[in-house]
Amino acid sequence: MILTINGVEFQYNSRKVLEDISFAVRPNEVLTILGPNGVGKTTLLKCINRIHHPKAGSILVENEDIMKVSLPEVAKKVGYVPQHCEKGRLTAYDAILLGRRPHITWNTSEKDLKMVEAVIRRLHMQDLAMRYIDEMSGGELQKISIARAIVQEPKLLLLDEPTSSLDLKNQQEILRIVCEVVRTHKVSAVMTMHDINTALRFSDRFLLLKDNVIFATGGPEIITPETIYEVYDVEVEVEMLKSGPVVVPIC
Amino acid sequence: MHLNDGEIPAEYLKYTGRKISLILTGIALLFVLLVYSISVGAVGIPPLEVLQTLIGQHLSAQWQTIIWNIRLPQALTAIVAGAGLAVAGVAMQSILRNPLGSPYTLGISNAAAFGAAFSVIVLGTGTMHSSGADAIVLNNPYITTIVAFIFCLIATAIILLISKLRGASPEVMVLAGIAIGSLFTAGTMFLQYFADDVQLAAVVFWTFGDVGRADWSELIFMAVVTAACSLYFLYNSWNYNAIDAGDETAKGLGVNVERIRLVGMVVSSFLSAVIISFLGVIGFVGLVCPHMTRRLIGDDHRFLIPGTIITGALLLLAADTAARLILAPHILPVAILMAFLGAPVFIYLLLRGYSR
Repeated sequence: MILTINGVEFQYNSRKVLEDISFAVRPNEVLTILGPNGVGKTTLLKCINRIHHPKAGSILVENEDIMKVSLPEVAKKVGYVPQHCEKGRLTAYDAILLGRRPHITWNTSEKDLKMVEAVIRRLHMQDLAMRYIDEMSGGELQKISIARAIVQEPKLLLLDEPTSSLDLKNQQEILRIVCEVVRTHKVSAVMTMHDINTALRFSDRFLLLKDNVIFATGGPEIITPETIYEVYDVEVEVEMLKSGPVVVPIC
Repeated sequence: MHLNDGEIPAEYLKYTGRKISLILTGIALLFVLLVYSISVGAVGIPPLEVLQTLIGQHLSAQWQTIIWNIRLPQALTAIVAGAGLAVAGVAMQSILRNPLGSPYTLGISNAAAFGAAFSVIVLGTGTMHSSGADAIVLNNPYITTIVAFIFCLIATAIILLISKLRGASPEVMVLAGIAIGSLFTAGTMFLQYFADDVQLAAVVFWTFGDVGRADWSELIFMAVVTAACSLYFLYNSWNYNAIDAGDETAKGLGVNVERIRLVGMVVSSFLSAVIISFLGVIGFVGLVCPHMTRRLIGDDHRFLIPGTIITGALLLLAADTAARLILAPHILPVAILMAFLGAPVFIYLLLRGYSR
């Protein structure tokens, strides 16, 4: 397993956000966490990345307890793409190069620079490379965040709402890139998402959170009108198209 | 993941090469200005003779004394103090993610001034002997430094404490710095009110930051502290770049943001305290130099930090040279000229924007 989570609990002050969360992620797997706002999706990702410290439970990445290793060691294994990308005043190239931080001591090596260039080419971002990121759109920044996480060479990619500020075309492109990285390298991805249909198209498994606990976990078969009603309190139909299941709200 | 099939783009190498060229040009300019600064004054010494004296040739006993005992230590002090205050400023701006961060705006200079006044008036470490350039004699400058440093740490601790409070924005931190500055200024005034004439004169004179005060031993001490702190900041340049991208991104990249912030503030406060307690309050260097350098070299701390060190050294050496010449034969403390120059230069920089 790339990621194994056992009995994780987290609370902000006295408010419980996550209770008894346990699941595992296999190599080359994309798992999407679904659930209504405020249910703890982002908090869970931050716990996995050690931005937050769980109150209880254990988080193992490649069988190593992330609470017992240094932050740079965690960053060598886990790449994180936050929901909101802040605009610094670096070029896109340097902003992506920042992803090599866990591997750098004093300065970058030739290998680091070549790796950035390879990712830029793979993500078709050559036009953006020498532009300053404070002049970029939300979608372009999102791509840079993902490129930065890829050059980290992690075993696990955590993506918090990776398509939240992207148009339809960019949503498809970004998620295709994530899936390609997952399929072609020994990497897994855990995403949070609100768009169930996009999640259905690009994910192997799902984790449905409700009231701070896991409501259901499994493949696309768990996305049923009943589970969605239970989790989101919304009536839907699940139609089968050629491309796969599609969730349609009943107006 | 295997992503080793890339090539370093020529455009990127050109881009970084331009920044390195700017830093090297700055170093060359600094050397030229150093020779010029030593050559001008009440006794003019031709630049070539300055160079010959510096490399050990004995041309004139008078020149030898002027250069080695007066002008060289003063010019080198300006370089060290300018570099130190500027690098402390750029570190504070990066750590706090606030363009208004500097030892001056965050009240740290005022805290150091209070510490020095406390040391001079209450602990009796400073006296005023006569009028002139060496009017102040700090009987034990290291105690003054330590006391100034302690008060710098107190000011820093208050700012960090406020930053820990929920919802405290960078603006709140700067405002807290202004409040702390006012508090320490009030404390200094309180001490001055109860001081005798000699102590009062010593404290007031002390606050006029002047690079002519330091002797060789103090200069070496300041240089060692500045070099060590600059190395620390340079080592952390990638961490500051990461913090610029946001705390969460930085943490995701393995940066212990809280520790970097805390240690960075302590190191920059220590550096400011050492320089200020030896030379007095010199404002605007820590605020203006990082902005000047940003406009020339960009925000990448790999280049911004060495660039700011050079800019700080250049600016304070140029200001001190001008302060020595502007009202010759009277010598103006450099802090007064910096205060006059700093504000308009800063406004000009704000209006001009980035050239990149």
